[in-house]
Amino acid sequence: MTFEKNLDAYVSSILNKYEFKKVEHSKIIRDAVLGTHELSPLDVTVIDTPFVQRLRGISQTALAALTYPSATHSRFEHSLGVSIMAYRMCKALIDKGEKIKRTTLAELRIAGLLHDIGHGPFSHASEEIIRELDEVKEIWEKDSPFSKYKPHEMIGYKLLQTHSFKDFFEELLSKYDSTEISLENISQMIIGSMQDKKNDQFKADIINGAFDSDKLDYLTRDAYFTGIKMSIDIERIFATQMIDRRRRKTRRIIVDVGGVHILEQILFNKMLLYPSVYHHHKVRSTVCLLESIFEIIRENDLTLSGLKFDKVSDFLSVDDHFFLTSQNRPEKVATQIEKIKKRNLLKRALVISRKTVKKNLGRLLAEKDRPENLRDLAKKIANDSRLKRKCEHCDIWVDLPENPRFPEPSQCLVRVTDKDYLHLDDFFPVTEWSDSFAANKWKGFVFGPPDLQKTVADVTWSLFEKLFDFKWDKQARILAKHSSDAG
Amino acid sequence: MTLNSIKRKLQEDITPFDVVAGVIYFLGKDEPFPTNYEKLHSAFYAERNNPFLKEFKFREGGPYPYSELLESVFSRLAISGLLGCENPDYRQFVTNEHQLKEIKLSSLRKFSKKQQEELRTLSLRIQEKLN
Repeated sequence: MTFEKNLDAYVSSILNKYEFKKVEHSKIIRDAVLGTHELSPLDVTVIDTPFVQRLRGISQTALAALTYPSATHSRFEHSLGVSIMAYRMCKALIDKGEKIKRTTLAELRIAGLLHDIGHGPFSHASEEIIRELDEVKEIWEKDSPFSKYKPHEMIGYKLLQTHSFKDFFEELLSKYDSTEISLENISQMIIGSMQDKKNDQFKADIINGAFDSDKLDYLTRDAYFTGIKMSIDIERIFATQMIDRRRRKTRRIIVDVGGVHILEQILFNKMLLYPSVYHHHKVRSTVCLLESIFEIIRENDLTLSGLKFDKVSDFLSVDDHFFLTSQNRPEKVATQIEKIKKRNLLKRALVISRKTVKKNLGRLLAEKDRPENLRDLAKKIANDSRLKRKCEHCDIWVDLPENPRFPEPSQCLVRVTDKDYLHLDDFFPVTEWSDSFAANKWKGFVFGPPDLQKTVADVTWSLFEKLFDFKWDKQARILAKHSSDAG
Repeated sequence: MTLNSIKRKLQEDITPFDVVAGVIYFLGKDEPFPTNYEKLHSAFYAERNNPFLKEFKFREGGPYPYSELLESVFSRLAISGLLGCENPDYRQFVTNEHQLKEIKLSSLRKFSKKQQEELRTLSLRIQEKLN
């Protein structure tokens, strides 16, 4: 219960400082990706809360802007986008004759706005740290129903379920005569699982399903702001989505056969974005630098502005800007921050892939399940006599990025006729095809300081031969593109 | 930490990757098995109370129970070349002698004789559900 208590204390402290003001009129916003959209007074009020406003300071793609200069978009814009997408998706269903209450439409809009409030600074980059926190592990180990959700989904849900937030939201709804809106429904939409699955699951599918408004927004938005040319015919998706109305079947979002090629288009785009953006070696290098900051804080028992980052609420209290301030920071932390600010990033010493490791790659990949073992490897590399006193383990990372997942085709049902329904992957084995592409494209890295690339490569090369019986291919070095090595 | 102590730790610590690799070792010895996510995740879900599978959490909101960790492990097995599927259908996973030998040397050796028997039983139960 410590986690829930801490979270409630955090929410309460935020709301105590917040003065709620009723909004009288709707407002029009213009979004670079989705165009003009009207927000209801209630939407605006939810947007104005500190929980949503905080998302302005959390970049959507962590530090990808150091590689893709225009990728400076935030979780705030993305949340607006998800709300707009959810509204349009639901409106398209209503236009096709589905009887969906106006309350549901309002709940979906709010769920879109709130779906990412559980994110820590730098979005997914801090999620791996949060996942390892004792209070989160405690929930995982208790095997509570929440252990299967992503940390930010679970935290978002739990935050909305705190007594403090419930009281606040109830008061807010009463001001708009909207007490029929259910916070429970909104929370369930965020974790993608409605209590009344049989009748309501389509609502969660719109926010957190196979082809949900979240995915539609982040793919188009991330591509737009990174400058990657990509196109998804969103109007066509809306035109072909429907609710499964068969008797005795769960009411889920399904797609007419005319929408199959668009769904495939989405998956191909997702597949291409990973190696280009999320797994780009420079992007991964910045993620490692960020993780090093948390590692330094933990290992040296430091605090930043009084925060130890040993509980979820510490992560929710801050945004990216907090971390990019090096003044009044412990020296080691300030050093890492300066590296980020000056773009003095870690560089590849070795590239790990099925082409660069000819034997026993699996022995290393098994350790992805044990992040602490990967850090032990980094420490062992840094402690080698050739590197000792030249670098510290916080600058050595064995980075094995998570491959993109493609469960969508097996989760999405396609209506061929009123009597015939198939899964998306019955048309084309898109999951297996994408998995195969991803397996061939996947790259892991050993990162080290720029002036020690070759030495870090030499040390790691022999260490992994001894530990894993690796058989390296020379491509592991060639692809790392070593520059001169002062070490 | 000395080199030997790290090596010992890595060789003794059974990870979810090793568990699935071990299941595949016994599954793949006999015949190919389906790549179909619904079948695979449902089969492992049915055995979720087996102590070997305690780290796997399944989402139950979707049309079938789905585990991110299970998908991650299958993906890593594919990257490491321990598991593959044949073109052009991609409908079945196949494991050849070389892959089975590598799984035996890498993952299976972490399990004691007794644990290997338990793993074989788990594998048989999963196989029944896949068929």
